[in-house]
Amino acid sequence: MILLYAAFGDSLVMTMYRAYIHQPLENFANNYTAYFLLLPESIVLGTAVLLLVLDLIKPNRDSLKAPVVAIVGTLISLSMVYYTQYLTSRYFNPALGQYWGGLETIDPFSLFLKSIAFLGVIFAILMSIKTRLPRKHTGEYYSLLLFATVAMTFVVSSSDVLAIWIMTEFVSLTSYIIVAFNKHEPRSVEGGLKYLLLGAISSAFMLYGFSILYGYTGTTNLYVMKTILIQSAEQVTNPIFVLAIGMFMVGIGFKLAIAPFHTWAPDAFEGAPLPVAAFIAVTPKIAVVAVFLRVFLLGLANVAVIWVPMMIGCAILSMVIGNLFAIRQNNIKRFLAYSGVAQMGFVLMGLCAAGVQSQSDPNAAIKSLGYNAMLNYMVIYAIMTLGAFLIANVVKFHTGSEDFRAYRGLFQRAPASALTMMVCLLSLAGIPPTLGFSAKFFVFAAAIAKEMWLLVIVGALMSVIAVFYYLRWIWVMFLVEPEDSTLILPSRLHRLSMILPIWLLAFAYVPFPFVGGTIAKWIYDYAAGAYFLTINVYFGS
Amino acid sequence: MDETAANAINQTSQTGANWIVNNYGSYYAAYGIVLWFIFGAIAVGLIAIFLAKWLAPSDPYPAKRSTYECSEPPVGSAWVKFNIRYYFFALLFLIFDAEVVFFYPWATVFHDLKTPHLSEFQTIITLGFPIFGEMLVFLFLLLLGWVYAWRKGYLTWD
Repeated sequence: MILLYAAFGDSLVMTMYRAYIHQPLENFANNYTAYFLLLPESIVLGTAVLLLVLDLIKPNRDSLKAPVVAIVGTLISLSMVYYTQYLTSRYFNPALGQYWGGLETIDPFSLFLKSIAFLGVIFAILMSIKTRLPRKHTGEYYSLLLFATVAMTFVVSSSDVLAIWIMTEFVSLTSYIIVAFNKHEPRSVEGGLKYLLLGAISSAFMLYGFSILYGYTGTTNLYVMKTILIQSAEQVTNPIFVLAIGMFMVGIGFKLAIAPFHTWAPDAFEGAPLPVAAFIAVTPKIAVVAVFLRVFLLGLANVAVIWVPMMIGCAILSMVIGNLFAIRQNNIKRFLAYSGVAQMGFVLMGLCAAGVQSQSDPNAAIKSLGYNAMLNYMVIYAIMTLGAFLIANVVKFHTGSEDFRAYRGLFQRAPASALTMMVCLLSLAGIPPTLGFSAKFFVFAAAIAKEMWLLVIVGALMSVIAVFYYLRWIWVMFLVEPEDSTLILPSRLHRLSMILPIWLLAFAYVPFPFVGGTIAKWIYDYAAGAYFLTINVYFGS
Repeated sequence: MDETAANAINQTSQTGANWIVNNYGSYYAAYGIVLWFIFGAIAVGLIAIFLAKWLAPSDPYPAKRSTYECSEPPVGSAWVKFNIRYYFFALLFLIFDAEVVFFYPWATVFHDLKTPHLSEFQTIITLGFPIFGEMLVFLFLLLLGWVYAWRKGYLTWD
């Protein structure tokens, strides 16, 4: 199939379709058979299945075969994401975009988030190569990672609440298994069980919220839902929406680990193998943020009066609880879990700002600064969190510890690792010369433009606290004498994978010679291009 | 999806909104029939119990009051830890259960496959093969799961 594509390109496929259907291509694109737009997903799915089959035929436990196959498959899918983008822009009216009866929407937004999800899983696989996992199940491990990725790529393009629910469940089910992957360690099983129980309850909440929305609007499609809510504008203050959106917020809040619903995150992170912790810290959050954006800025855009206050509450609680609890954490994984809770508070700040728009222009929300700032923040959050986990993985591999004490004098033992960690932590704190500053800057700018002073003040105060606890880890790495001063020599793989976060984060504001522009600007422009459709062209309104 | 289907969806969406606005009361009233079903279900259960009590002669003796009247005598409590392998078998059984549940509606739709605007040949090419292929993929994934469990030795009891 891939070879066919490589040889003949898209022209062959298009000629085939044109020959059999004497209709304009735009009509056909809305048919149920536009499979070629699912190329990224199908290749990842195929790789996952291939890994299972390879494991069946010849279980080769310690070889590099499984991770290499997984990475190659993911890279091909990543290139197919861009190929799909090219196909849709060339052959289809981009204003269409809903396929399979409105179940999935292939638009720049979903393709953008898919590419970040693929980057996240590639990093997770790279980290897993040297990690000690149960030997009997190594093949399953990589295929589960890829199955989770498939589900995420479907989530980010879902425009129907049922598709969203089923695919978030798929993400969660695979995540429960890989969190409890070290099944002989009580910690791992405990984390997995907590994740499973709270996750199951949250899914029930989310489904109940969706069922109320369906009962009110009579549709599961978010585009139709928006149309109906515009038409019945006088009823949007109906208290039933408080119930429905509240239920949905509880459900999806658990998945995103925002503040009142974050309790599973530190335990699950602590119990999970390190690469898995890195994986669930980044990629499911990207998928869930996509759900947030689609449901709130598309389906429920007209009900912003109800959800924006809830969102502001969650954002403030996330920033306060995440930052205050992160201060005392001495385990790197728990620390990064709480830091993730706090970072999600800043992401929600962008969503709050994007929600406050005039309702006359349906595109106002996705053209707003808040929307761009939020996506920009997600990319940068992914880079810096993956970078921090990368170094945690190196330290864990060489010292066997995830504790604060293992980081004493890391600069003397492993200078490059300590520098990478410093850049990632400074970036998480939002200190200017790093890329993290760009993320925080745009989010604050969006909130200030909408005059959300409470959010801005709490956010600013909490950023100061954040600087304190990120600097605490930097202090222990650079200014404390190590207990054991043997040198740590990271393997070549680890050294290679350290290059990316260092370059992206530390030199974000250095303009490139000959090319022009900086990394910060490129990422922002890339995020700003990832709009989704807010007007329903195909179903007509 | 073709034009008529799009129009149908369009119409339902518009009438859906009007319907809610106009008949807001009858929307909840429609749940009345569900209430009647619940009452009916409870009534049938109660009638069966009381009818049995009224008609059947009552003659309890120890063997009759045990859990299985004509089988092994029960030993111990039912609240015991039991082997996790039962769950493997239950899951593997579910594979085939799900298969059957999906096959029936698929088969009925596939049997009456018709599209306006398209000839029979075009329908087969553009819808028939893809829909058949989808089911083959589904079947393949299920069978793969079963073969996986088999080859990994989860079907043996040791």
